[in-house]
Amino acid sequence: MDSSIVEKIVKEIEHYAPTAFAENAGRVTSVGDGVVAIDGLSNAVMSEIVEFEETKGKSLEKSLEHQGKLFGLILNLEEDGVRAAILGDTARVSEGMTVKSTGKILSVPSGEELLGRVVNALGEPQDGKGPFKNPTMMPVEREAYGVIFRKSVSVPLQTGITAIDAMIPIGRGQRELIIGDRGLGKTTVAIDTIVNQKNEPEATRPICIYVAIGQKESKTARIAAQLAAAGALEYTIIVDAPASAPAALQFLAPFAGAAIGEYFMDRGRDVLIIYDDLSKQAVAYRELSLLLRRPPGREAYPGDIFYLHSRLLERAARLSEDKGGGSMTALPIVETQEGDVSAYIPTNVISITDGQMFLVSELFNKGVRPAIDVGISVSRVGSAAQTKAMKAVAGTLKLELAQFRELEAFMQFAQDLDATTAARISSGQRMVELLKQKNGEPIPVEQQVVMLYGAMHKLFEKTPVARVREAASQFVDYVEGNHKAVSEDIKKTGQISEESKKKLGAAMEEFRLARKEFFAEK
Amino acid sequence: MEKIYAQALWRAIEGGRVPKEAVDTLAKILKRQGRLELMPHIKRAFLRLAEANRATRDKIFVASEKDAKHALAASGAKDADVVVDTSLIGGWRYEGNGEIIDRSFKKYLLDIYNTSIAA
Repeated sequence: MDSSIVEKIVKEIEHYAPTAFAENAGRVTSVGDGVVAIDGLSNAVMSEIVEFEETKGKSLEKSLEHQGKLFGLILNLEEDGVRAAILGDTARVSEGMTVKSTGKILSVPSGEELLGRVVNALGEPQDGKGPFKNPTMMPVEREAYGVIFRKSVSVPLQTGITAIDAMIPIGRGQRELIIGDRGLGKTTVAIDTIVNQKNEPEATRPICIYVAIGQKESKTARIAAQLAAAGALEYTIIVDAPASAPAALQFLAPFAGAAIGEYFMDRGRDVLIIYDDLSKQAVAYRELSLLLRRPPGREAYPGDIFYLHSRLLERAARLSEDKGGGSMTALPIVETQEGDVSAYIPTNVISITDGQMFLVSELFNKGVRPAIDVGISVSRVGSAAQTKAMKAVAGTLKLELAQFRELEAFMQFAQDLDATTAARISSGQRMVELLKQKNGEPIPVEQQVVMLYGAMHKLFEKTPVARVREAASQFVDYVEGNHKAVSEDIKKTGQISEESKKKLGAAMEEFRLARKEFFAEK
Repeated sequence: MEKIYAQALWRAIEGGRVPKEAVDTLAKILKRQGRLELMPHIKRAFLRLAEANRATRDKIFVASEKDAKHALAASGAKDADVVVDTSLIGGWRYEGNGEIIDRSFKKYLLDIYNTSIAA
């Protein structure tokens, strides 16, 4: 044995004061599928943590071999006992095992030292970087802040995705649902939003929390690597409850993420939390509820499935100045089947959140990325947080795109169209092209404004559709290179001043002359 | 269902009914209700109940027989069943009435070890 451990043990022996108080206990009567029935525990309370006594009857040597304690979470209080979910390996629990009450409600560690780390639903490190030294324990289940402690959403949260920041703006403290079928880029939108926070000044940069629920470990590892490569992991915490984790941990992970986020929000910081995804959490909760013999309802989900999501998402808030002015913005993700948004879980979460962005396969297959259908996507509170500069350039964008979608069907009769319709279609095609964006390449808001200003003033009117993105990107570079003061002014004030407008007008003319290849008549 | 019948039978016997008489009465009731086929299930439920009852009897665990007297006096559990568990090393452990009091040397040593490792 290491001599330092011997020294520590000797020190402990010298200062050891035995405590032998009576502990409330029960006995495992049945165990299976991650759920355990316990006789006794008469003083147990809901959501209390219980400890399985694995060392009983085992020699001291064998007892020392146990890797950490095994806990359970009480989820049902019944007439002649309790039912609990095992927070770990079910195989370690056996019938007749003694279970001790801890008197503690489930809590997870939080604090600055969690930044850049990957933890599980219990807050235990999963990245091999060692234990946390001095974390603050936060209760996993906590009542959301009431009305008097909140204030309206007024500060924007920039995603770096032009289509979102221009047409479905998100404010700090908002809950915006990302919904769509599998493989349409829901996670990509969320991850790009995290990466884009790098463009925020450090003082106002939100702490990002990515909660992976029921995901493949390989996907989470890829996301962690992507964030690290983009330099975004340093302000991000990943809470991982993979598909291989017990249903109890998958159900708890979003609450653990919210608890970790509340630590920062309570201290006046802004937090961005992504729940990827809540449909998998609902499935885990259904599994757990059925095993706990709770009555099944629609689609076999338990009766409190709505409350499960509403109490989680209500914890996202913008706090009043008295409470420190912190915020927690939630971006829950819900996966649909065959684009069916009228299914049980999607309708529930749509009704809880402050807006939703729909990703549709039709656009995705046409090469429109992100495949957001702006016609049916909405942000109910975000426009209050949108900067004046963005409002000025994107005010009519959504309407124009919606009109374009209506007229799109007539594109095949292009020769027979009147001049107004043809112009609207032409402008719409260019706008769709302009809003296409590669993943992992978020655009700072001031550059988005410059690009949209150009589009609004018909800069790309004569540009071939296929070259619009290239032209827009080069126009932004031109302004950044030759009129840096304009973008700096937009970034600083959030407005486009008259002087900036003049400079942008001049820049457009200069760009037209300098890059004639983009504006050649057909 | 069988659990409820078994509990009723248990209570009847605990209340002073002669076991054979209690079982005969139960059989008559079941026959009248056309539920006689429940009898083997009730038997199993009754055995589980008996096992659970045995498990919930007060117990005092000691490392060796000679510690029993002191352990019973120290714990105040005079009617407890004494069980020898050499893994305790020394001291005693009481289990009963929905409570555990652990004053075994094994527990003390594990506490010291775990605190040292965590520190």
